Amino acid sequence: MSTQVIKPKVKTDEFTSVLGVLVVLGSITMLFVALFVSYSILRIQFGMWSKPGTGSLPFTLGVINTVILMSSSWTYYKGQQYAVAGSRRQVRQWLGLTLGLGIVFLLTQLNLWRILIDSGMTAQSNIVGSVFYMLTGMHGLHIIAAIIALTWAIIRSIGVAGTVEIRPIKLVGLLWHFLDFLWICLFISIFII
Amino acid sequence: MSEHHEQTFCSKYIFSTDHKVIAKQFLWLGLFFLAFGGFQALLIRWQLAYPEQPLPWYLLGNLFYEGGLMTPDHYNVLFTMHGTIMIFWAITPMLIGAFGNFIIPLQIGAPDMAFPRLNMISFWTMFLASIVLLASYLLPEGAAAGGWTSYPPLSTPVGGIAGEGQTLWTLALTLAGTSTLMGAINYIITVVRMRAPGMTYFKMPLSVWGLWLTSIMNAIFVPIIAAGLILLLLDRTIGTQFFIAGGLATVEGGDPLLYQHVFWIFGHPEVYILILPVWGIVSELLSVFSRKPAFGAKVTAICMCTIVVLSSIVWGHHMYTTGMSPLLGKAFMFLTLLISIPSSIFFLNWLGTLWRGNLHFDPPMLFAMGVIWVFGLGGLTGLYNATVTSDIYLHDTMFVVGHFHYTMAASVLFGGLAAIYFWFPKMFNKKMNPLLGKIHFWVSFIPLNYVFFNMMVTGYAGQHRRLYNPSEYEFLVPISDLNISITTFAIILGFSQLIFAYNFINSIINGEKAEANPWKANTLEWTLEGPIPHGNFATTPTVYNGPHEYSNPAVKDRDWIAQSEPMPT
Repeated sequence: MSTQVIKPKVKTDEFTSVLGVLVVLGSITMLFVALFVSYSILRIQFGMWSKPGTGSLPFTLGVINTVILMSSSWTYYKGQQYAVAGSRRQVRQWLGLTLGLGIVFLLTQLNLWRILIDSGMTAQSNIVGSVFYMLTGMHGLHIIAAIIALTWAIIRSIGVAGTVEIRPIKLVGLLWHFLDFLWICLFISIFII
Repeated sequence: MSEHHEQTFCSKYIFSTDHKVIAKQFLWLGLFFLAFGGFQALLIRWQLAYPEQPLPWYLLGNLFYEGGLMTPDHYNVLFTMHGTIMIFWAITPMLIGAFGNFIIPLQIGAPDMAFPRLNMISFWTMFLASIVLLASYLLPEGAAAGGWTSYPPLSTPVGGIAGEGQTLWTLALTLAGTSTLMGAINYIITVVRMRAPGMTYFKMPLSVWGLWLTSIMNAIFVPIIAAGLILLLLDRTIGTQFFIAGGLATVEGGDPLLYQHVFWIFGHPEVYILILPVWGIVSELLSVFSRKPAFGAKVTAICMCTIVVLSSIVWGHHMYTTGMSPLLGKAFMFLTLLISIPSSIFFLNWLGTLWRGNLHFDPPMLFAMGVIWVFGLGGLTGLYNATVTSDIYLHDTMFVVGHFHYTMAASVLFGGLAAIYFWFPKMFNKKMNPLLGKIHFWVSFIPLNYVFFNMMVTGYAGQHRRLYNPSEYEFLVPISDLNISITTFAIILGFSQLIFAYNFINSIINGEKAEANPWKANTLEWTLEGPIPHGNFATTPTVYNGPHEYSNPAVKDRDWIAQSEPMPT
């Protein structure tokens, strides 16, 4: 005979979950602050720093990626609006589009990497390369995590027929917009400055 | 609303989301590694006392090394793993993982942590980290051997240590850090969002303050060491040279000093992370066993907050000998000395709590008072390390080792033991043997002071740390006898812990059933009859009083009143 136990469930409200995600984002920020500060120190000390985007193709790809991510933030926002309105089909479309854009971003990144490696800039060839692949790689890993999280959020939000659960979308949205903002910082500090 | 759920053995004990079960899981993990790391310390001490002599039978020499003889490479592994294990696998799981998990929801009147499943994952991540770390011992070239600080280039393949032990070490530490981060998120949010009605921040027990502030620091600073470890991992695996420079470098632009900065920007706050829980717990225990409110409790909480802020800007005091500009050295020195002010304030508050108190010398109180002594001594010796001029001489000597063992090992260990003795009746619903507890205190306190005080003496004499054979230096030969006596007392200290081990395990199995509130303490966890059910409080308590309401004249018949009991009018 299996034990029947009264198991009061800890049901945290939405604000609590949002706060939790914000703390996570705080920690990720500190991670990238440390990486960016290391980059700054290495760059200042090195002196002759050649930006990875000196060829026109890499820079263009960088710009394209920035546009892709910013668009994905906009499509996410639309998806979230439709979630609030309760429209399941629109949520599926817009968030699905966001997911697609995220994957395109990753593929474009890999392409950019391939082009740079072919041109001789690897992680081992010089410090510029090491920093570039490290920063974009760390960002990319977090994008992969966000893609997995978004997939989960889409499934959770429209999993039960006839309703749209907003909380997963809201929470992953915080992560998604944060990574977009992080990419902009990356793009400016690596390709432009 | 409650739901009826079937609980299998797996969901109740192994993959439990109940903070009390997870706390115990962390406690067992921490105690295991405490023993492991402690044993390593004895092996290190043997080598320092009897260099190049085979280990004795009771230190199981033949089991670990050929002919029982430790080589220099073995020695490097020993001090590396001893430090790493004690900090990340003993103290962190015990104080933060176990007591953080156990105390926080109960003392704030919450049913569980804010994110119970995240809590469960945090333990199993730590478990995975443990496996990775222990697996590194099985590698042909041995486990990590670059010191717990793992400075490059020694910790890189270029001019450094061969083999993958250091790589696995880096991975294990990253996993451990992830576990800590998950815990930190939980603790922070739980305290912010799930306090019972009436429990304002300044009505929270000081134990919760210590654990909460520790978690805030963890959330901020652990990602920084993660960054450093990632860069090191890349250097070790894919051939980047972030931290390699000079003649060794094939790629220009790296900087070994960058690692030191990144490491210590985390490393210094880390030592405060390790001791904050103890500060809070000791403040609370002194109050309980003096039957007096914690003297200056609000000020203590604010001092702890001040130290949290200050600790983030003093990391340079670990790097005075790296050739930094004297002005920068002075700046770090000034800020480091500044930290001694809030520390002294709450230290004096501890004394204020004891002053004219109705002292009860139960084992938790003995250990809490022990913390006062060892932390006071350790803190004072910190002043010599903080001052640039004296630190130039003392850096990397056994003086520093004595200092941090007093402040970290002795204080945190005693604090942890005080916590175990205190909360054991609530965690396991059994009583520990108090006589054995008192004996345990004295047979720990005396040898511990002998060992670490004299360690500082050897450091002052010029003995460097991480030395395989101190007597290779002629000027250290006269203190060989001192090293031998330190080792003797260290062995006594080590084996004395068996008294605790016996008491702990025997009490769990055969102990008398404990009453609900054996210490007549006033915080919320003591209002619950054991074993505490899943969900803790049948009805959410309302908090009326502060956390250390002892000997309040308004309460006529006893010297305490629970936080959830309305004050008599």
